[in-house]
Amino acid sequence: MKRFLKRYGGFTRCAIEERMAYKAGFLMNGLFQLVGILVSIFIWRVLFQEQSTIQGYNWDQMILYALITAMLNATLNFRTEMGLSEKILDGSIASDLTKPIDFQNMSFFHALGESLVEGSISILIIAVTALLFVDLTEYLVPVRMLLFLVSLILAFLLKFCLAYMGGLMCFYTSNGYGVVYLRQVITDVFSGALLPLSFFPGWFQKLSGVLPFQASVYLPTQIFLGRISGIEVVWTLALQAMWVVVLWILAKLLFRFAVRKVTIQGG
Amino acid sequence: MLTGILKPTSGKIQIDGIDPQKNRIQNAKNIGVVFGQRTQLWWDIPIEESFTLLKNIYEIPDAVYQENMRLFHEIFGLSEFIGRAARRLSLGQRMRADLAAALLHNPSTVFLDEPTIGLDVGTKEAMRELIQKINREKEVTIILTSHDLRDVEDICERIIVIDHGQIICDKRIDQLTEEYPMDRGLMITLLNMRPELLGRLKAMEGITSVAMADAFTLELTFTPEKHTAFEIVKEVNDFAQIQDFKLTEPSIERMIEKIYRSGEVKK
Repeated sequence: MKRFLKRYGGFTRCAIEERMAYKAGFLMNGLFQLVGILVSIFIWRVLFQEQSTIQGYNWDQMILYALITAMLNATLNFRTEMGLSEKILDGSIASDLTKPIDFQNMSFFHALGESLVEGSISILIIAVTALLFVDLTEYLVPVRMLLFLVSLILAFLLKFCLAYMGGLMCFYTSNGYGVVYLRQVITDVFSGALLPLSFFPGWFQKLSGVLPFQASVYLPTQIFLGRISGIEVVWTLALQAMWVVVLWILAKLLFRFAVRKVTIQGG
Repeated sequence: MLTGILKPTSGKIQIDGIDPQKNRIQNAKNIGVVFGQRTQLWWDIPIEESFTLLKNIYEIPDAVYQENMRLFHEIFGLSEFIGRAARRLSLGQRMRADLAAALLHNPSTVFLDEPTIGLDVGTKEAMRELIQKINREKEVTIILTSHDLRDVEDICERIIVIDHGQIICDKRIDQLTEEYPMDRGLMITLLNMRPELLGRLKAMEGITSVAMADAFTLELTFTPEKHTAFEIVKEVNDFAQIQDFKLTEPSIERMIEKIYRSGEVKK
């Protein structure tokens, strides 16, 4: 394990440094995120003027839901995903494939580094906005926080698998933007990143329940908000873990299959 | 294919007894690869960090790493730019750094794909010298692909010509020169040529081709073993007034042109 981390940890470190290389871009990213969050908060404020709960969510819960989703969306974002696709499209994946490393592991540790940078600024923004707009006392329960953290880690792993598999599709499409965009739209809808899944009609909730996407956004928020509690939390975490294992293996198989399609332009 | 990225449609490949398709990772430990068209160095972080990353990936022992770094400092002059990010290097510096990166783990075989592409004449020359030096000092097998046949001429001992997926020639360079005698060329600008000159020259032993490029320019090739250039010029001088002449040295380029032609004839 130690040896494994030493071999791959470097990718995380280099990714962090690379993301930090452009300080202005880093700050702008944070600023954009802040604007997005404020916009959604103000929209909810208008909606909550008429009623005190919407579909069983009160003001605090709704805003926290929006904030947590924003944080999950900020980690492993569009840029990270595009980076992977571009690697495949411009053929620089060839250099990685001449190294004695597993491409999926490498991509994961790379994405982790980038996400740590973007996640850190995101956590800062979210913590500040949460303190300003929400009464947090009810939610900061230590045990629940711990379980939420585990759920977050699983959600990140899951999100990586989805993004990675999306990226691998570029072996077939020779254009990255459309693939990444399509994948994000599907994920946004089915994961609950757009709206809580309980806002949707019953059949849609059933459908998203059997898909992996909800485990990457919706389930962690429900744990944080305490809408899932007791033994159910354990089952939820188990479900997330199950999806991680299944998708991780699926991604491995997909890679084996897709890599045969390698056509390196200009090589 | 040799690096294990592409799969051959038929046939078998082995490097040091390892099948690069089945054991890509095993094979990758023994090889180093440089793509002239792209870099394996991290774009935005110091070269030094890229090297540390490689050290971890290949699990290079400290002693070996330090020894190699010392050698590369000496040969490639790495110290000039090791603290800079890859994007801030000149192409020549980057190629040197890339070459060093590919050699860091003492590979037994190094693949160089167009290592001199885009370099100016002086840097190209320096690069060739470096490659030869590395070949001697570290005793690695170097496999080079290039469109610049001067690379081949200066660096290689054995040459393989592939035409439409078929090996049409696989020989040592010295063997090749024996088989395809290297004719020298002579280009003479004449005035007042007497018509019987061409016939005379054609009859001479050792002159392999004679033609008029235009009304004043005579082009011929001859085998140096039979005649010296001076003898031919003297002969021509008897029949015409020589204004100027130019001697062209045999080049590998010509030789390969011949090989391609003979390949076509066979088809």
